Amino acid sequence: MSIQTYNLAAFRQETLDHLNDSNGGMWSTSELNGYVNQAVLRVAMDIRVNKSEAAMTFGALCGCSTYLPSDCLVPEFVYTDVNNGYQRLFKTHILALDKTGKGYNNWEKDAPNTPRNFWPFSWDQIVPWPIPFNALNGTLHYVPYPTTLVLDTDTTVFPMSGNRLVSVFAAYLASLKTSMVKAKNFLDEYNSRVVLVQEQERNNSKSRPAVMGVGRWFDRQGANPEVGRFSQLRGYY
Amino acid sequence: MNLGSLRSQAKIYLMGTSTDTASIAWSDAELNRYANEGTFYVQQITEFYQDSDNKVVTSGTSTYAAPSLEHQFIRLAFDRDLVPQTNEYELDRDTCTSWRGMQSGVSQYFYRPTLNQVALWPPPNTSGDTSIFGSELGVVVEITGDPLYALSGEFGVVTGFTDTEGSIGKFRSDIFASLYQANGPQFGVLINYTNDEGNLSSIFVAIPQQMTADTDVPQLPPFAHWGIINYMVAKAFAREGEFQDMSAAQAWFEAFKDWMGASLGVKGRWWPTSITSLEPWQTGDRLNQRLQAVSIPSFLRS
Repeated sequence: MSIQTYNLAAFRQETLDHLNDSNGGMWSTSELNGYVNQAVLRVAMDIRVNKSEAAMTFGALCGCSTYLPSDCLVPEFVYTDVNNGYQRLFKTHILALDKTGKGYNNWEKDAPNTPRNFWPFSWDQIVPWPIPFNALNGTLHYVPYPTTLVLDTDTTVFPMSGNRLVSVFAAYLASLKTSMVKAKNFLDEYNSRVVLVQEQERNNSKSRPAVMGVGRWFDRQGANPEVGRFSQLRGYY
Repeated sequence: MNLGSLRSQAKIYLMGTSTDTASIAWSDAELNRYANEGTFYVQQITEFYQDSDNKVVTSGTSTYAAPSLEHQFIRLAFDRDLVPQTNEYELDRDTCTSWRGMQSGVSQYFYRPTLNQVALWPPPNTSGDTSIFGSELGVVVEITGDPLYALSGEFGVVTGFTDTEGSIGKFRSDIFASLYQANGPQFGVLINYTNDEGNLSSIFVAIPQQMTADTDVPQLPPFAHWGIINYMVAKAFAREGEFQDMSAAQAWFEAFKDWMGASLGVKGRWWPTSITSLEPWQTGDRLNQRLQAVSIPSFLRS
């Protein structure tokens, strides 16, 4: 036997099953497809399991911001190319840059050099620092927006636990038109089940410790090597 | 999504998709109003959209108008050096009593005399570069920053970049490009790009611009647009009249809050490159923190 596969048609049918309307009389196919796609987006926002990479170029002698890819949902980190040793660009903040050099560093007037940092600007741009002397090629690692399901055979990239959430949230959206009580029940079910999927994603990525022992001495720099490297580069701030 | 699709989706939830205009309870104009209101409300909660601006300073002049789109400043700089914020009380307390009449110098701080104003202290003793148009015809774009570059009697499309350094608010166009000026010899589109060298530059949380055309897009991340739709439906149900349904309005506002909570969760995971807590992972609530600062709409308060 194989595990269940989910495509747009399967999501739609399971949503109708949740709504106890298997013949699909209350909601049209196009309407349900809209709810399924919105649910796919919501699940992608909450579990963030799918990763992607895209090239970014920071222009020479350009202190302007660079736009993130249009399909970037959650930017995670940026690293340079082989010519720069695949060095990661560390995220900073403009106010943190103001504090460097005990507040005397006129970082905006720094001469162009090889960027070691960037600071985010608005929700879709980053600015390298120092300004690149030569054009700098980099790669952005990010969580992309999920692909819109169009054909009945289109599928998602979620694990089974994530796919199970899609129809629940789609049923919540559909119920908003008919019964607020039922809608809330579906939303509560989604919110309680999504936590388990988030735990699954955190354990898979090992992005942060799951449990910290009580009463043990802990070296912050040792836990996150980026903190130690960054503080060595720029001094205390 | 653009304004047209926001409205279409809201109509689906309102079950107001009929082509019979006499049967529709909420007009396009009304829904557009809710869309703009919802966009601003989402921006207040999430603070996604930021912008920057340059103000050309004049020697000896202290006070300047704040950017028209400014909702809350993040950072100000004069001639690309940070100017921290102060106020009149601190200046009275920590400087000489005649600071208001002090001669100009290199501006070190800024304070806000009133809403929509920024004052530098001391007043700058240099003027920033400006552009002077003279008898242009056509599309004219001047990039200031090089005092040796001047436009005079050009015809056609003229552009010129002369500076290669600087950062942040390096080149910013005036938000509302000047059109034909009846009292001047210019004719056509005039766009003045200012430089932050020698000028007052700012980065701020911005007010989203008003959407008017159906093709206008909210200046927010695409995933946040669904929150705008939920807000539109809540407002529509709350409006007085035969279709008012306060329980539906409350329920749709709960749906809005749910989507805002998820949006703030996404924002909280942007660039996750540092440990923010050594505590075992726990479920938090970013939304309530923002709602306490921004407050819920009045139509939902009992």
